[in-house]
Amino acid sequence: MSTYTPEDLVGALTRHLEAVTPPPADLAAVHRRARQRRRRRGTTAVVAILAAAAVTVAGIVLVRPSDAPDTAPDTVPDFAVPGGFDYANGLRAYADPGRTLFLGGRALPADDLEYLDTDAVATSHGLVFFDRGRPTLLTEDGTTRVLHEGRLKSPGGFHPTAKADATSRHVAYAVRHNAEATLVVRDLVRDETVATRALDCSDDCNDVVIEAIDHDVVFVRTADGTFLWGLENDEWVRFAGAKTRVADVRNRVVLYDGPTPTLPLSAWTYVRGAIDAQLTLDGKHILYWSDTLEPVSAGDEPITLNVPGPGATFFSIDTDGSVLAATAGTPATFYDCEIPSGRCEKLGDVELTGGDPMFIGNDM
Amino acid sequence: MEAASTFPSEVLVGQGTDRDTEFADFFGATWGRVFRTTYAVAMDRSLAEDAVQTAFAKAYAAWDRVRAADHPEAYVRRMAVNEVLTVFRRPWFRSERSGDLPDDARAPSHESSSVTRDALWRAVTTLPPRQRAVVVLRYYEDLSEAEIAEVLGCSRGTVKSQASDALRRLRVMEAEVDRTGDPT
Repeated sequence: MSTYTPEDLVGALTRHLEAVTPPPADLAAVHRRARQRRRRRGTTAVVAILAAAAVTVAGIVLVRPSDAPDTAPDTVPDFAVPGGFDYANGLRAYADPGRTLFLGGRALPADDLEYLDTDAVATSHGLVFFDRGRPTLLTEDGTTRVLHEGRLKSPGGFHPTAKADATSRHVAYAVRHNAEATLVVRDLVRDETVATRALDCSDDCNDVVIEAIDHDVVFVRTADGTFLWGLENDEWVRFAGAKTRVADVRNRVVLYDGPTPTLPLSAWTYVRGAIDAQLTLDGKHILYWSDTLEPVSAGDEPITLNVPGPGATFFSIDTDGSVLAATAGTPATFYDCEIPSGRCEKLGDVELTGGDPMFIGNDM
Repeated sequence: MEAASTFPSEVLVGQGTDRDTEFADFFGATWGRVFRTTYAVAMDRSLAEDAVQTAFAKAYAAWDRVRAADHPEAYVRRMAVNEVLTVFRRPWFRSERSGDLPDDARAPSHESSSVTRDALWRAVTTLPPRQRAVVVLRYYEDLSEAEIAEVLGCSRGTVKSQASDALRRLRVMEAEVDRTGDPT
C-alpha cells in the first residue's frame, strides 16, 4: 500500500487547484442574480384576500404597484380568510417563495411576498408581517389586525423586522417615520403596546435590526453595535460591538457569531455559533443545516430528526418548539419533527416553482 | 435584566459607507480563491461557477450582515460549498451527473516527482462530495476541524470520521492506482 504524507496531499491539491483558471469575475452577473432573488421573493405587501375556491378556501394576494408611495397607507383593507387556521400544532408557516404560503394547515396562493424570510415572524398567536412598513397580524381566526396605527414612512431600504418572545405573548418590531425609528413591543393577546423606544437614526435607520426578544429583553443591532433594551426598567445598554452578530436568543441562551459580547450577564449563557443557526425554544440545542441538533451543554445528547429517506436540507424552529424540515429539490417534502424525540410527521409534498423552500421568519 | 445600572439613551449615529464599492472590492479580491475551493468540491466548472455566483449574490443581498462577520470570505466560501453539496444531494443531479472526471484529473504528469501527487489528485476527485469537501478544506484551505465543522454545519466528530474515512479511501485508491493505473 502507498504511504503518502499529508504534505503530498497538500501538494497535490495545491498543484492542481492553483493551475485552475477561474472564470471571469462577473460582478454584473452577481448583481443580476441578487436582483432576481429579490424579485423572486417579490415586492412589498398590500394584502387583499381573494375568495377561495376549490382548493383550500382562501388566498392572499400581495401586490404593490411599481409606483407605490413609500408611505404606508392610513387604512388597511378589511379582509379575512374564511375558516381561519389551526395553530394548535404551531404555525407550520412555510412557503414556495412568491407562489404559495402554507400556514396552519392551509395553502394560500400568495404572489409577490417580500421579506417573509427576514422581516416577518411566525408567533404562537399568528403571523406578523409588514404591509408597506405597517406591522400587521394574521390571526388564527383568519382575520388581520393592524398592530401599529398612525402615519408611517417606510422607504425602500427600511426592512424593520419583527421577532417574537417565546416566553411571553410579546412581539418586538420597528417602524419608521422620517429620521426616527421607533422600537415597539406589543402584547398580541391584549392587543396593546407594552413599551416603545425612539431611536434617532437619521440616514442609518436601515441598519436598525431587531435580532431577538427573550424574557422581555430586546436585542437591537444598529450601525454601532448591538444593544439590549430591557423592558422592565426601560434600560438601554451596549451589549456587543459592531462585529458581533446575535444569531438567536432563547431561554436566556444567546447564540452569537464574532467577538464575545462585551456585556456580561450572569444569568445568561453565551454560545458561539454560526449567524444562520437557530436555538430550540428551550435554548438547549442548536439547529444548523443538519438533521442533528447539537447540544449547547457538553453533558447533553444531540437530537437526531428522523426524517425518512435521504433526510432534509432546510430547517426552522416552529412556534410550538418543533422543527420544520424540508427536503431539497422538487417536489419538496415538508415535515414537522418533535423535540426532543426527533419523531417527524409528514406535512406534505410541495412542487416548488419559486426557489428553495422558505420558512417564515427564517433566513437560513 | 442583569445589567448593573441604568444607562442613558444613546443617539445612534452610523458610519456612511459606499456599500457597492466595498462589495465590489471584496468580490474582486476573493472570487478566484472561492472559485478554486468550490471547484475542488464540485469537480465541475459550471456547477462551481453557479454556486459561487449564488453565494456572492446572497452576500451582496445581505452585505451589511456579511461585512460585519469576522471573515466575510469564509462566510461566502461556506455558502458556496454548501450550495454545491445541496445540489449533490438532489436526486435529479445524482441521476443526470455523468461522473466524468475533470480533464486535468485524467492527465498524468510526466514529472516523476509528481506521480504521487497526480495519483492522489485523481483519487481525491473520486471521493464522495462531502468527504472531498473535508479534505479540500483541511489540506487546501488549511482549516481546523472546528472551522470545517462550521462550514459544513456538522459536529467536529463528524468531520473527524469523514476525514478518517476519506484518508483511508485515498490510501486504498492510491494503492489501486499503483497496481492498475486506474483510480476507479
